[in-house]
Amino acid sequence: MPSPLLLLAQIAIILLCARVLGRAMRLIGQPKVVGEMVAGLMLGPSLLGWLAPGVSTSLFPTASLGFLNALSQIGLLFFMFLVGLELDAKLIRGRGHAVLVSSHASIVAPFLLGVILALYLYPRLSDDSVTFTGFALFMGAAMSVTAFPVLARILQERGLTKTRLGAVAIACAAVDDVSAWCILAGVVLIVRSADATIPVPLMVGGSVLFVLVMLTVVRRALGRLEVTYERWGGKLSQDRIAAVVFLVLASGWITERLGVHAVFGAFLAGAVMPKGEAFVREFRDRFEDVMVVLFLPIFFAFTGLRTSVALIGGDMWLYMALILLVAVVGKMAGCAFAARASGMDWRESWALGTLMNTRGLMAFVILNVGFDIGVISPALFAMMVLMALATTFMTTPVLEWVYPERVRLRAEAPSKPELVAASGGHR
Amino acid sequence: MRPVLWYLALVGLPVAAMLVILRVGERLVPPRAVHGEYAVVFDSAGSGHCLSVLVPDGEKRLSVAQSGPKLDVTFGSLELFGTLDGDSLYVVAPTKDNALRRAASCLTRDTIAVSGALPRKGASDTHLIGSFLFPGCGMCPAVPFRAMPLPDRARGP
Repeated sequence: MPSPLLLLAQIAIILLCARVLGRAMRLIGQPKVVGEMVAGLMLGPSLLGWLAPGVSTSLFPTASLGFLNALSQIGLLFFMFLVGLELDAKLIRGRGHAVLVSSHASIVAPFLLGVILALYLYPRLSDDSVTFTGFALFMGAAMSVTAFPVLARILQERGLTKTRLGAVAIACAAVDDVSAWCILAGVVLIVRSADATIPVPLMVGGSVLFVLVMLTVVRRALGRLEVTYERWGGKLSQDRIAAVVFLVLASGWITERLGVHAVFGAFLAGAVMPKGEAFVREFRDRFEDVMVVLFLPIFFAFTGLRTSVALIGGDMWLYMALILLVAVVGKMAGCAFAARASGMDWRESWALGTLMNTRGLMAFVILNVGFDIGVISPALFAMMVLMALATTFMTTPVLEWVYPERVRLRAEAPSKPELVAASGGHR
Repeated sequence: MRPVLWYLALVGLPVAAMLVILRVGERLVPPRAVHGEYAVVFDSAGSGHCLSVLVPDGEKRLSVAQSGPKLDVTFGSLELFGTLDGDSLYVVAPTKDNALRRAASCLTRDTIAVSGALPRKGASDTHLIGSFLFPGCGMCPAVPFRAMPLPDRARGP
């Protein structure tokens, strides 16, 4: 059993690297989260393990990774809870067909291209323990995700939250998020049903029943939580916070037992929470700092420890280039053409496509799910991690190019006030 | 009407195309799955003098990470890379020092390889049968082994 001292040292080093790289990225105009993602990769076999294998082995011995994994999984559950908490139907309502067409097209186009790419990659990067359908659907889902929290942060930092572009982008990302998680839940069910420990009808039926219970019974019960919160002058007791923590853990446990994945339960727990602005802010404030400062860097580090860029060699760089090309073209162009067709001008349409191309840590979440259930191989995992990093990294400079400040200053008048709250969300 | 047409063109058609592709893709034949953990049993009394120079005698666990036909095999401190070709695998690695050269008077740089054959698909015997080879050292005989797949065949590290 690894010593607690080692775990403390690991966490301290992870936090230090994340903070330093996060700050460094801010200096070049990138969101901090990009630096934290890079820090995670640097601590893994791709850099530390390559430059100083001895240091890497003594700092992150294989036997100790179980602890980091457990911490990162807990962090991930609460992060997904926060993502669900921030999602509000008000973001989508009243945005019209531009949002509906753009968001669905920005999912379908990269999804289709991902499935087409799967035809080429399946014999080269997969094996017969995974069905083509599972592999292709997973590739599609990983290609089509948008990082709602990172996108919100970029919009906020660039002063775009009150523009029409910002409003449509947030709404599209919200639709994308919900759709992507539903699709991924389906993919996980399909993949896991092959060697499920519980009968498939029970997996599917149980999942549907669980979602219905959450959307009706639990949502109504949580509504009372908001009422008492308001009655007590906007204060949350520790008992009530403990109840919500219990809900997140129990919901994650149930979805994991049903064969979907714990992250879906946590996301659903957040999604059914009441959406009063003060109530959401209270929860966000209580959870966010410890999530952002402690748990997410551990999750990134754990992802980095699983990522070995050395596995990408020879022909595989061609596959990597194809993955990146398909991801960018599918998401950016798919969304831009749909937005143009819905009446936005070309510049705004490309800006929207650029924003939707931000995959960030949501892609990391999906990739880790895929790796856990064995649907993607180690080399493909490394390629997809690099793709997620590259698409997140490119968002700010490309946005500056297609939607420069002079255009931004001419941008429309402020839109609905709720967007300010939405874009002030975590990360 | 126009938004509905756009929706059908931008969403409906791609979804239909996707369903066709999923059907076509099911005909593809990927490499056989060999990834996972294996318990190694040596056919002879021990792992042999040359192998024991590189890996402690007690080492019994062979780990295979797979990305398509590309394999990354770990046995003790050895990490070997190679490919799977049909039912045969061949992975190779230079060892980190010249231990063999010192211990067995090998003339060339130390190299170790594993050659193996997967059991026939659907066969009741699921053992991987192979040998550790020492291509750079004629004084080191091949070390035959059988590897039994352990439950929960993880994909990689």
